[in-house]
Amino acid sequence: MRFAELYEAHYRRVYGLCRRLLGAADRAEDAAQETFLRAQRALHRYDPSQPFGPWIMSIATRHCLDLLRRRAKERELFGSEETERLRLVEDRATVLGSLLVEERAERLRQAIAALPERYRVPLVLAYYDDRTYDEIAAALGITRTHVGVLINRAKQALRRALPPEGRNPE
Amino acid sequence: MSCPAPSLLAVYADGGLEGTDALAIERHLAECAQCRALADGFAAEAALLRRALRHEEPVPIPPLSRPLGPLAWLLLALGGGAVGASALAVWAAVARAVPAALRWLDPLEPGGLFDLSVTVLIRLAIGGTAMIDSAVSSAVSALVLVAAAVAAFLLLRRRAGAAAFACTAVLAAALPTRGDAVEIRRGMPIVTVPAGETVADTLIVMAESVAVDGDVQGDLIAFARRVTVRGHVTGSVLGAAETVTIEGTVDGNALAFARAVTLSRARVERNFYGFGRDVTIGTSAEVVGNALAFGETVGMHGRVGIDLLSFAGTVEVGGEVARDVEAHGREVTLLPAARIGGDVLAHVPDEDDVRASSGSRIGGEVATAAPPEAPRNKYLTPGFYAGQALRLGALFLAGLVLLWLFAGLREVTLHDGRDALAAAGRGLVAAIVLPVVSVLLLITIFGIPLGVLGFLLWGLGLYLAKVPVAHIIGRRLFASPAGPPHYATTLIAGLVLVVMAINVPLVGWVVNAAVTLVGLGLLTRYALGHVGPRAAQSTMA
Repeated sequence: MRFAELYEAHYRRVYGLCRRLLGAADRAEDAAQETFLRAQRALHRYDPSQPFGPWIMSIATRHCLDLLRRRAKERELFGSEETERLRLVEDRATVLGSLLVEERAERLRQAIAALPERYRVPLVLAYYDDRTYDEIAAALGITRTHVGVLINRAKQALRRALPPEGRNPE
Repeated sequence: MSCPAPSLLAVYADGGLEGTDALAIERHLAECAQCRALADGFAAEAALLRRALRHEEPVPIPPLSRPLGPLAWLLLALGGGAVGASALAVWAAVARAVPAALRWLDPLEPGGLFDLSVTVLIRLAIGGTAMIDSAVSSAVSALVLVAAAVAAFLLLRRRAGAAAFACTAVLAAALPTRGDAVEIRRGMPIVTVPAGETVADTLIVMAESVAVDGDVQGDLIAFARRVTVRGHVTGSVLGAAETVTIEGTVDGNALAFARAVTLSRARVERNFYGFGRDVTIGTSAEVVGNALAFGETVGMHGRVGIDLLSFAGTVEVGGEVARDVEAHGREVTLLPAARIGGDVLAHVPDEDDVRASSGSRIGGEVATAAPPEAPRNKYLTPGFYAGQALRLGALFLAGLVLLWLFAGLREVTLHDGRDALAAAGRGLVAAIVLPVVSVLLLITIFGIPLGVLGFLLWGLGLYLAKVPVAHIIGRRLFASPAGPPHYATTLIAGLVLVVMAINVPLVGWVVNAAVTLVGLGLLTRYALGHVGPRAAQSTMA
């Protein structure tokens, strides 16, 4: 398969990941382009017996993380596991639900985009790109339990941002 | 086992637990209905997040392009310089074929054009008369109407019928209507007003040949191959033709565009404006006001009541000028018959290019305004920096307005060197084609407002060309993952660099040419991209 065809076939998914990881559309386009340019340069390292999708998505993830790190004020993009664990409030709050209405789904997307990076990135990798906790831990350079804490924190923030309909109508 | 923490259940629901941890939870869930419900809830929540995140908005797939690296920028700069230099070389070759008096048309030296327009405007203002007023006001009102038509189009383009009606109405209003005091003669190969006939109105004629031997009690506006006026025109004469000859009396101004413009035995009570290859004021012709002549050769053998101002390759004065003579060109000759009441100021390359014959009489002084020799190092004068600061400020303000009005220009970018070369090529074409088309429009009657508009756009485009280039450079400077800062920041940063670069000794002019051409190309591309049907559709969408 020619590279141009691979580009056509995978661009939207790569762009989607960059958009969700970076949280802004304008930078996502540049990041997606850069991802494919890097892939093109590294094509000799790609094993054609493996699917192209996961390979390009991992390049996109690395590139977006680089961008986020460069932008971050703190050196540790994902904070320390201990601090995050302390912030995690164990409660049996209602899970996000009944969001089938399209308008609510849009608000959920907006709430995800508004999450701090340390919560958004693992959430996106887990649910947009279907990575396992181990894969996310490897990509972010943190432990698996840290990933679990961050994803839990992300969900708590979303639950607060989007209380169930009827209870707190806006 | 006591109930596990909800967060642990959530991780379990995501498949994030392994081995004994997972096993323990599984065992607990088999016994505890409450935790089972919670775990199911977490699984449903995860499914919901997947659905929400995977909602894809259809985005267009842009062409895969490489952003410019430092090497590409260097190559781009060299390529741009090469294009600029070759364009200038070509232009210099073209310019050699153009008479010196027309050098102000040089698109790469808009300053000359500006100076000239100011001079001409001042002259017109001083000699300001009905015909020029009406010509200017009709041009201005036509421009206003064109602007109104464009506005109507922009506002109404969602509704095609209404838009078409509004545009037609506005254009109908813009076209000259046949008034009571205007007589229009057209469609005949030869139009003559024989001696003894009197036209009581303003006369507008379009024909192969126009000969006026009788009287016109109003203005005469004539477009033809040959225009000859031997009779009497009480108003002004505006003639555009291959040859315009005036032998009669004009009580107002005479304005003529032609290959050859000749006043012989004519009397023009006000000012005379002649634009042509050869502009001649014959021995027995008299212009009571000022005479302004543009041409390859200008000969003045008659009488001019006030000043003579000429832009020509060669200027010959063999008649009487009551006051001053100012001539721009290659050479100025004062024939023995020349009688000049005031000064002679000649803008010529060399002092020897002014030849005053021994018989000529000059009341004032003869001065040449050749470029001063060995000018002081301009980089050492404070005025230079003040001027550049002023230039920067003016460009910045103009650029801000431009980027504010046309937000799309903020996103204009150069993908690679080829893109930049293409833009420079497009800019070169625009820089040459636009004035040529404007001149062609100017010499057709209904095209005059469009021609003026074309010239305005051309000048504006050349001036603003630095803006998009500066903005691209500024965005490169501030390229950061966090996105570019406000466009004012990137614009001023880019402009500072551009203005500095174009003032670098020896190569600054090449940079200037390259920046101007690339910028003009970008502006052209942007403009063309926003008037086509494709752009209209995307705006509607």
